Amino acid sequence: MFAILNELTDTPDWYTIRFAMQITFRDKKWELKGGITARDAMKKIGIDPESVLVVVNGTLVTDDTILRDGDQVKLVAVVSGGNET
Amino acid sequence: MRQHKLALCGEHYGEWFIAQTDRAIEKYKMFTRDERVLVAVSGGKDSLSLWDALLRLGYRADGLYIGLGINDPAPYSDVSLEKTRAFIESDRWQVASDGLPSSSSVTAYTPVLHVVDIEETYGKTIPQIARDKTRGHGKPCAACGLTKRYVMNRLALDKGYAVLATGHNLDDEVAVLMQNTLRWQTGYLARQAPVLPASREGLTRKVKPFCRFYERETATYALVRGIDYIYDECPYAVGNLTNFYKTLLNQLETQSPGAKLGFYLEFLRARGEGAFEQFNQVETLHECEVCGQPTSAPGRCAFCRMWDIEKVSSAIVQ
Repeated sequence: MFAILNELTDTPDWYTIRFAMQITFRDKKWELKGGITARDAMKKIGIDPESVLVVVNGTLVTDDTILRDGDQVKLVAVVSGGNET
Repeated sequence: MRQHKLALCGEHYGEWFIAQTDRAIEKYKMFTRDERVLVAVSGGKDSLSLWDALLRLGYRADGLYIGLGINDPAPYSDVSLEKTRAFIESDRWQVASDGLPSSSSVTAYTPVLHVVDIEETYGKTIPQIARDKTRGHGKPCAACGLTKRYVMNRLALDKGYAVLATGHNLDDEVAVLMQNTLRWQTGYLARQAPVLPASREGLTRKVKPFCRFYERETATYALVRGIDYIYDECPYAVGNLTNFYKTLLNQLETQSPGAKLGFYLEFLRARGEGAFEQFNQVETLHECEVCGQPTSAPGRCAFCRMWDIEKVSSAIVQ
């Protein structure tokens, strides 16, 4: 219920920093409540964990890493060929 | 890496990856340290990681980039070449003379990047020739594949390379394996292997040193090594059948870690035991009457026909 599956233009920065983490993948953005693993976060937003790598605050992490509120999470596609998943 | 039940830090991951690459090269007898290797590079994670790994292992590996002229709507080919040049002009591939990774500036081998621009060489870009010849049902993939295979083989032979290495990873191999299995393409199954030997004069040996690496493993290596690769893939590849199968196989892998690797290795085992031997028919090949390259039918080869090449000088890659 914390997922906001679209642009964050109406969301003030202080909200993300204090109460949520921000996930970006290509041109899409999501906000989720922290305290869950990267693998669970991907499942929540409908991304197959096998198809991406997770970079948190600029550092490559494993799928079982717990994501925290305020984290900037970038998903890097690993599937060659422009797969949309 | 759930499929290996293994968790490594960045430094040890790089070491593991390099060791696994060398192990695959030796296991499948791909090439020796005395042989010159030509790596087909596209600017993507797989091919640049492969070139990087081979150089770190001390192999005499040069690169071949083929400029396809795919720059609409986005400058895919231009960016790919830019990434490839940036990689080899950096010093990250430098290795010590004993073949082990080194932080020193000692280099055992200075790699060469061959660049073949298709439009400059043959007069048209890949999308243009595909449009003119109405090949591929609106997509230039058939024309592209034919051209790349020809240029890679031709340049490897003309420049005296013993082997052509491509960055095909496990996901690539398993997606093709699944396609061929679903259609029981037994001839293709018989020929799918980590090494395609130079079965006759005029053909270069082709190898896939990354065939046992998951796609996410090669991507991880590229990130760990700081290799700046092109994230976007060819615009014509979006939505293709291979990616559809990759998506299905990833869903399977999520539920059953190791499923992709098991599928591929068990296939190789069955193939090695002769399960597909009866379907591996030796095709009678002819010499193209223009360029001399092997072709399945008498007369001009498919490449010379598609590019309307009449004289051998026009077919040569400089």
